[in-house]
Amino acid sequence: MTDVNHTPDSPTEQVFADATQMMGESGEVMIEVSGVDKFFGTFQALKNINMRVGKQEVVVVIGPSGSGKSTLIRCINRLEKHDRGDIVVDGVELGDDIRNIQEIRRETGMVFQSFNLFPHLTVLDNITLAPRQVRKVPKAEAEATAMELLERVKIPDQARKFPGQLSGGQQQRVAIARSLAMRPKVMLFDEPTSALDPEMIKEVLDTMQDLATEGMTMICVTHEMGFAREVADRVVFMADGQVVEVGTPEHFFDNPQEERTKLFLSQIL
Amino acid sequence: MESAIIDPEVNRAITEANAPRHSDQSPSQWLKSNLFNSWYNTIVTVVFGALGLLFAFFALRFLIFTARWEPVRDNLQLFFVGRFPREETTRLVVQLLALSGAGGLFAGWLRQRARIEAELAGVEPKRTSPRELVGSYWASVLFLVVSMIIGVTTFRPWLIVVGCVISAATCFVITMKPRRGAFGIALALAPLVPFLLAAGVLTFIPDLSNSSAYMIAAGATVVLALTQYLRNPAVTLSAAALLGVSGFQVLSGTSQLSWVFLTLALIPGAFALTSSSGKESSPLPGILGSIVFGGGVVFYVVFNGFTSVRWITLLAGLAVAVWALVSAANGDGGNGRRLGMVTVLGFATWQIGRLIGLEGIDWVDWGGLHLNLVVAAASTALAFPMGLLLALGRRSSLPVLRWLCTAYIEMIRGVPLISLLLMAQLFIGFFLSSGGNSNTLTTKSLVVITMFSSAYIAEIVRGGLQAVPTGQTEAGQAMGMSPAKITRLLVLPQALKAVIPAMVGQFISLFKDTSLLTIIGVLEFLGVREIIHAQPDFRGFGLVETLVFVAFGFWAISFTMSRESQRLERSLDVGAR
Repeated sequence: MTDVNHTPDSPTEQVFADATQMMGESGEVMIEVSGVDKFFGTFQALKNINMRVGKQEVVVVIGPSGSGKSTLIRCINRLEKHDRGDIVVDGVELGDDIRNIQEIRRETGMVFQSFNLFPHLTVLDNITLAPRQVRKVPKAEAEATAMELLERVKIPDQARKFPGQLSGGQQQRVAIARSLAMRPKVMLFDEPTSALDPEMIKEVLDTMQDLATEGMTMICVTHEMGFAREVADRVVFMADGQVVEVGTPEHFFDNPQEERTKLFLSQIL
Repeated sequence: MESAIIDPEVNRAITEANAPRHSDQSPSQWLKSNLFNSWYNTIVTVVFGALGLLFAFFALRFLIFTARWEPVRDNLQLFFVGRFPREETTRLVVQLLALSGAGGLFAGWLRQRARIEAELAGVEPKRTSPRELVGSYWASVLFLVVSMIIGVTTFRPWLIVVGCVISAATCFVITMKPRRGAFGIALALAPLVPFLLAAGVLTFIPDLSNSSAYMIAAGATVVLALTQYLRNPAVTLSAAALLGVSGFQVLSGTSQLSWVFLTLALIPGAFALTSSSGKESSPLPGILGSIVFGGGVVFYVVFNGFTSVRWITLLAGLAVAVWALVSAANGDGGNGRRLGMVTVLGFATWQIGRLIGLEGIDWVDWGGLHLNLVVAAASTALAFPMGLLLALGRRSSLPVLRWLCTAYIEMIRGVPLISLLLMAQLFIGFFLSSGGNSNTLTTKSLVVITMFSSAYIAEIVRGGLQAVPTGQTEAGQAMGMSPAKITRLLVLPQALKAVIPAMVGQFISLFKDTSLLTIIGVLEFLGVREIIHAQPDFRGFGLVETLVFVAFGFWAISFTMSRESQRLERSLDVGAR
């Protein structure tokens, strides 16, 4: 990876709290978040967040619970409404205009901690539902795509089963396939492995890693430090609704600058 | 590891562990370990066993020896169909045959669907065991048998019952896969059976005022042959609906209240629309169907003048047309096709019936258990969609709509049904068009019971909607689905499945509430008693016996509904959650 924004010989001069500097190869901006605030009642969940994600970049967001990580990515596809600031996804401004919201949601895949598969539909129907209903893809074509995706997440033999009949790891891979079926430009992962048994985490992380290798733009909220170190282009550390520190995985894990980051890393590593 | 979780062996072991144990201990061992396993259990068993036996003794002595069943025996026809004109009884027979046929087709439809789903999933289709059927229907069958035993000298429905069984069996059989050999030939000729059956009925009981029943039987034969030829679940369901409608048309005629029965016929089709397993196909039949339907309705309204009933029909027709067009524009060929099928068939029956000019029996003359069943079925079919809309309205983001729905629900739920019925006697006449059938007490009570039930159904559905996790909605939103589609395809199917027991409970209480119609002077099952005990022969005689008979009838039907809902729950449980 070409490291354009960062000079290895002067790490201390790097302004690490600036998350707007991308590490992407192309230099094109996919997601731009500027000055975003978010309140739940009087509680401020996000405080002046600035962040930029380039095309094909993989950003991993980590931080203690309640730090606003999930809120941040849920704002990007408007599952939560931000109160101040601007969010632009692939050139589309996220505002109150429902058409813009729907356009962004079509281009943005999301994978949830609790999978959120549709229990009354088969795996195949789960995957083909949105392409058929939203993108108006004919059934045969949608099913062919779904089978390809199931091959890719390595569970084509489960297509006719219901989600309740699958293991957690398999369900999460179906959820990933379901998001990919919309052919999104960005994938958002909201703690995708937190609800899984330890032996199933790897299969999901492998799937995500394959996706990153194929050049998908990704924002992952996760507690999997191994994944962050191996796959991330950049790691963003959040605490108390603010971005505390940003850097390449090497810098972040081996040479953190902020006290808050050091404290957090000392507790989990 | 993960393969162990889906291993069929493990699955079977889990199922067996959860199933109630049919151990191989002998009856005496079972008694010992369950009824006499401790001194206090022994006391409970002995005391309650003795009380139970005593009660059974007195009950049986009353039922078999003391009771005088003459009032019931001599008035069975009154109990079952009220003051329905004697010379028109054949219509009831034809209706029963048609409804049994519709039931058979419906069962066939369920089986066809199960077979197709099982084929797709690559598993063995689940069969309904005879044991399950007996468990569901024994109470109703017992009621029929008891009625026939009591009325063995005055009332002979044996032939009719046999006819109904044949009709249902025929309709069930023609939905089966094609076969070879003698059985295959018999299968191919099966659709003729109902026609011959109807012809036989008309020959032996030649008092039907016109020959339209022949036409209906002939029409049914064509429809059944088509069903057999196409062997498609959608066709089967539509044919079932059509046969059911023709059954009601024989009674109601073709001009009055057709819209009620048309709505009834459209409900199963609308149910089928909520499933998303439809095959891709051309939306053209849907569009054509809606144009034929909408156009026909407009034609009918324009050339026959405007009354409120026609306005309702017109609006329904337009709504169906718009729905079909929208669903076609969305690329849902499957839904459009089903919709087209249902509407074309429904409209065709209606219009053909109108051309034949079948005279109806004014439903002021309907009565007895028959009326209870008709009012309950019609109210159920109308209250369900209404309650659904009210529940969605109560959760709407539009404040005015939300307030209106909430106000309606809370107002209706705060008032006893009896007072609503009494009010209906006075008020509703103002809103219905004058004259004809629409302003009778029966119509008023149908409207009131529908309004009443819809408020309760709305609350039940709302409970179901709240039970669906928000994650489901969020998953739909994250993929860019519109709120309407999220509700229709993701939230409602799960919500409705979760509330089946409560919903059936509501329908059972609706059925029992039809006994209140007596209070405003409609002759229904319970009210028949008053007429019987006004007869010179039975004044003050056999009061308990008639009451026991009526209670038994209500219980048998309610119990059957409850058992059927349990079966439905079990069959829907496949693979969910």
